[in-house]
Amino acid sequence: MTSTALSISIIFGAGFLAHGYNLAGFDVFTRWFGLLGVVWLIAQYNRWDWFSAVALIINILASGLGIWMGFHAGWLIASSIFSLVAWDLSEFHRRTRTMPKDGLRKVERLHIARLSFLALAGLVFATLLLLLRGQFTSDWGILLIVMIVASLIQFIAGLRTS
Amino acid sequence: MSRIALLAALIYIIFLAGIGSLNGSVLRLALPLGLYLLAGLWRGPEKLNLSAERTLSTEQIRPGESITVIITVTNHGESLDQVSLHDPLPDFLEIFEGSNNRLVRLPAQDSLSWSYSVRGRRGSHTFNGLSILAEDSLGLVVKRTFLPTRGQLLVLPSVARVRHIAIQPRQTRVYSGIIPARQGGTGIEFFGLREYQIGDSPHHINWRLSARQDNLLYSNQYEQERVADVGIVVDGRSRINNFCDRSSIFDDSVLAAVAVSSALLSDGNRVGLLVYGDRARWTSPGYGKRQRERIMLNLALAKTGESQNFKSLFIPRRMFPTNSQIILISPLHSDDLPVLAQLRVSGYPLMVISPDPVSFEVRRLGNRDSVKLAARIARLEREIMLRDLRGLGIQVVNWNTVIPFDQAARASLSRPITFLRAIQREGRQ
Repeated sequence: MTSTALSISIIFGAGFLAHGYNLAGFDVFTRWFGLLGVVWLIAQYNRWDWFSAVALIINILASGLGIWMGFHAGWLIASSIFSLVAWDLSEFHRRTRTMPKDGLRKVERLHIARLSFLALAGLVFATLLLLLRGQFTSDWGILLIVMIVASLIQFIAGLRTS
Repeated sequence: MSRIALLAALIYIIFLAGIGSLNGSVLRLALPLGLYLLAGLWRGPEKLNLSAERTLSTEQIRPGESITVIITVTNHGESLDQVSLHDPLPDFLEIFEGSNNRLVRLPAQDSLSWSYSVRGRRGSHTFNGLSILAEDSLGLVVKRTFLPTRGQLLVLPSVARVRHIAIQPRQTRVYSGIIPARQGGTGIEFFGLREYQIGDSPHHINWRLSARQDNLLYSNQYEQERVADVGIVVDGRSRINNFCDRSSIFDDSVLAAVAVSSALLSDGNRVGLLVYGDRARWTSPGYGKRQRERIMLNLALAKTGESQNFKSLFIPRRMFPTNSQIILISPLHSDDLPVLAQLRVSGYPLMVISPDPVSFEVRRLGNRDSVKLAARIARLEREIMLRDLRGLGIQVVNWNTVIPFDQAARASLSRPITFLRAIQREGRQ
C-alpha cells in the first residue's frame, strides 16, 4: 500500500511541476522535471533513501521560482504538496521495510489517511488561491474531485481502522 | 539532518525568498510545509508511560534448539500513533521465527503481546530490555526510551559422546572406580602373587604355582580400580585461538572439554575445570551429574580474551591436588613448552589435547601455493613441538578438527598410552 501511494506521489509531484513549467512555455525545464521524477522512482526502487530529501528540496525551490516568475500557482503548490507526501512516505517506507507485517497494516493505513487529509487541505488552499486569482480551470477541478474522493476513502478507512 | 530541521530550513528559505524578492505570492508555498509541521507537532507523543514484560519458554537450550520469547508491552499513558519496539539480540543468537521488531499503534491502556523464536551458538545472554521509539503519525516528533525487562538465556555447548578416557594418574582416591590403582586387591586385571592368607577366596588360589611348592599355597592378586582426581584446563587465549578472518578454534576446545569431562565424570572421577581467556573461570573439583551441570555452565560462558595475567600458558598447580591427572586442552604455542615441562617435572601426569590450528586455518585460506608452503612450514614447527612434548612423557593428542572428536578420542584416548605405544611399535616391526 505504501509503495503504491509513494509511486503515485512521486509521479504527481514531478508531473505537476513539469506541467506548471510547461504551461508557461518552458519546455526544457518540463523535460528536466520529468527526468527528476523518473530518477526519483528509480532511486526509490533501488532504496537510495537519501534521494527523496534532495528531490523535495529541488521541487520546493523550483516551485518557488515558478511562483515568483508568475507561473500557474495551483500546479506548483500541488507539486510541492505531493513532493512533501512522497518524501514523508519514502521515510515511512524505509522504516517499515524491515518490520514484520503484524500490526503494520493498521499503522500504514492511519499514516496514509492523515497524509491524504493534509494533502487535501493543501489542495483546498490552492483552489481558494486560484479562485481568488481567477485561474481556476476544468483540469484543476478534475484533480480536486479525484483528490477529494481518494482522501475521503483513505480517511474513512483510517477512521475505521483506528 | 532531522526531518523537522529540513522542513524548518525550507520554510525559512521560502520566507527569505519572499521577503527578499518583495513577492508575497512565494510565501504561499510555505503554507503546506507549515501545515505538515504543525500537524506533526500537534500529535506528537508527550510523555511515555509504558511497561514491558518478558517470558522465555526455557532458560537453557542446546545449539540447534530454539527458544520462544514472549513480550508484552502495556501503554499506561495516552494513545501512541506509532511505536517502534526493538528487542536487541547478541551476535550469537539468530531469529528462527518471527521478528524482534514491531511497528504498531498502541492505544491508551492497551497491551500488545508478540513472540519470536531464537536459536544460536554457545553463549549466555541477559535480556536487559526493549528499545522504544514513539513518534507522531508523521514521524516528526520522536521520543526514545528503554524499558527494562528481565531474562537470561544460556546456550550450552554441543556434546560429543566419548565412552571412556583412559588415564593413568600416579595417585588415586579411596573410592572404587575403573582406573588401575597400581595396588593389589580386588579387581579384574592380574596384578601379582602372594602367599595364601586365611580368608582368601579359593577361586583366587593359583593352583599351578602352589602345586610346584611344598606346603605353600599362593593366591592371585588383582589390580585395584579406583577413581582419580582430574583437572581439565581449557586455554582461551585470543592470540592462539582466534584467526584473522574472525574465526576461532575455541569452540572446538570447548567441545573437547565437554566430551572429556562428561566421560571422566561418568566413570566416577572427581573432575575440576579451569577456563582462562578474558578471565579465569574455575569449577572446583566434584563428582556426578551436578558437577557435570556446573562444568557445562562454565563452558557455556567461556570466552576467548587477552589478559596480561594469562599471556603465557597458565596452569595453577595449587588448584589441583598433587599427582592428579591434568588434561590441557589448547591449540598450543611454542612458548608453552617450558611451562608444560615444569609441570611434568613436578610430577603431574599430563595429557594435552590440541585442536590443530594449522589445519583449521588452512581450510579457510584456500588452496594457493603460498598457503600450502606456509602450512607445510607451520606443520613442521608444530610436529617438532609435539615431538618435544611427547619426549617429556606427555600424552599428546593432535586433533584435526575435521574429524569428529568422538572418533579422534576413540582412536587415541580410549586405551592407556602404554597400550597404544605397544601397538605402534608392533605396527612398525
